Amino acid sequence: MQGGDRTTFRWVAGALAVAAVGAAFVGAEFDVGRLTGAKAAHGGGMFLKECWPPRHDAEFLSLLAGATLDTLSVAFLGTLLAVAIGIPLAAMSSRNVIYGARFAGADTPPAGTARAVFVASRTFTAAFRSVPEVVWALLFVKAAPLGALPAILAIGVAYGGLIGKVFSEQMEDVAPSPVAALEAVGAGRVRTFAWGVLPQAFGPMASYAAYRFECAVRASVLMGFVGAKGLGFELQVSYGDFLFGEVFTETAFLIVLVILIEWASDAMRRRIA
Amino acid sequence: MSAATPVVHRPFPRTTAWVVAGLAAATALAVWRVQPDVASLLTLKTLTAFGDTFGRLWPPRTDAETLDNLRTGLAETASMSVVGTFLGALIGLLLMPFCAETISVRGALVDEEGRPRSRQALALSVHNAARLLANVLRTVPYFVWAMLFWFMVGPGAFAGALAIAVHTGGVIARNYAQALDQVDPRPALALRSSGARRFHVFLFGILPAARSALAALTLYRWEVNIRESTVLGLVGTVGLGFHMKYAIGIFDWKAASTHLVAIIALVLAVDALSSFVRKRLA
Repeated sequence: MQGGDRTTFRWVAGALAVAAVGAAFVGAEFDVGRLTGAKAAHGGGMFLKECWPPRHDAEFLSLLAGATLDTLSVAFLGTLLAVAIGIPLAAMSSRNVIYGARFAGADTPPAGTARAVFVASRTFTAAFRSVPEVVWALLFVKAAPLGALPAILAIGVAYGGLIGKVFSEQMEDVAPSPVAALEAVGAGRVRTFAWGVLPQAFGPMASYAAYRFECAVRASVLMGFVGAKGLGFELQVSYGDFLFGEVFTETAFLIVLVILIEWASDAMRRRIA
Repeated sequence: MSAATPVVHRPFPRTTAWVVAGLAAATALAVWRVQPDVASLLTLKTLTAFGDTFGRLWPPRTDAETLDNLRTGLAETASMSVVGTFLGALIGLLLMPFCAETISVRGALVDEEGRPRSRQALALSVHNAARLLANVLRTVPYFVWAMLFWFMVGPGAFAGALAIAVHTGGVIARNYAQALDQVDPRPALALRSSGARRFHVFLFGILPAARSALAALTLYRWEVNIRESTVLGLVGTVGLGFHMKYAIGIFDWKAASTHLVAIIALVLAVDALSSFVRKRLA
């Protein structure tokens, strides 16, 4: 019956998927006519025509260079904060750290303080990452309108949750024998973590942090739409004023920034790997 | 190795000092640039304001108007993500064979005796053009695509879905092509040498081996897109993100909370569904 069950599952899943996609097309008011009609061509043509010539005077370019630096700074400090939040959360969420090497793969942890810390830390990690970073920013901006800080905090909290989860997976993946050896000679939890777990997980952790920085740059641009300074803010202002020549230049800055960061992060990951 | 050679255990890479110096310099530059006002953040007043803000979120509002907004917002956000992923996957499937190196410029489908130089050059330029197109679609952020489509079809879920679709198409074409490039070439070579046509080799020698990877990549992208379609609402005027931004704008924290709960539930539900299906596929 195994084969029959599988086939039934596939048919039901397939039918549900088709129905869901169909419903989504209705929900999204999908209408090819609106995209190919004269109005769309007119609007799109106007947008593209207004893009040329892109604004490129020195004053504007130096404004955008400053905005780019703002965006990068927020992304960098946000990632740094996320790593600072993520490492302790990850350590407390890793069985081999909080329970010790012999529980590396155990499913049923022993009750007690360690278990309470483990559960609490995993709960916080999950809560931090279940809210998108821009939504965090929206809440933080209203609570404390302090310039770049809400954006940095938002990236720190949301990515702290993501990093906490991934770092903890990487920590639980390390070879158990060095950890057990340190425990055997009487090293405490902190030392076992610092000299047994961390060095082994260091490469993958650094590589994931670099990837998160890439994401943080994009996120930091978006923060501009909810009030933070940077390229996103400039983009929103220009778009709101229908200055598409400026939008074009800002988009070009964005693309170059994204490509450069991707390239740098790839290069770093290749060096570590 | 002689016994006298000292064995130095380095728990961390030798370059650590340089990396730490670089990170410190970058931190200093960033702090100098944005001047984060940590002193004001760590005052009792600000910390109370944080507490107040999050305290005001409870309980979420459940009156008819809020629930009505919630329903349309949920439908719009979910629809944008599904349509965007679906159309993006179609764009990806169309670009995929041209972006994959092992399909368009080398491998079983291409390598043969006496292939004219001009055909190889043509194949290479088509490959490069496809990759350039995918890179353009990918590196222009989805909210910039949304700006263009808002202008063409008006602000709304349709424009959002198109923006996500175009951006997803670029990202996923690259992912799909990488998956195809990793397929074991031997079945394709065997089919080709037994005289199968190129299209059949692709269909029966390469595609089946990549199928579950392609499905997993698509589902993973859907997880990303549900977040992007939420964010499009914060940038524009559609979906749960918009209703939440609007509620916060008029300081209606309890309505904002309703939409926030819905965003979290939707994101978690999509993650769970996607990972459930991915596990069954593997």
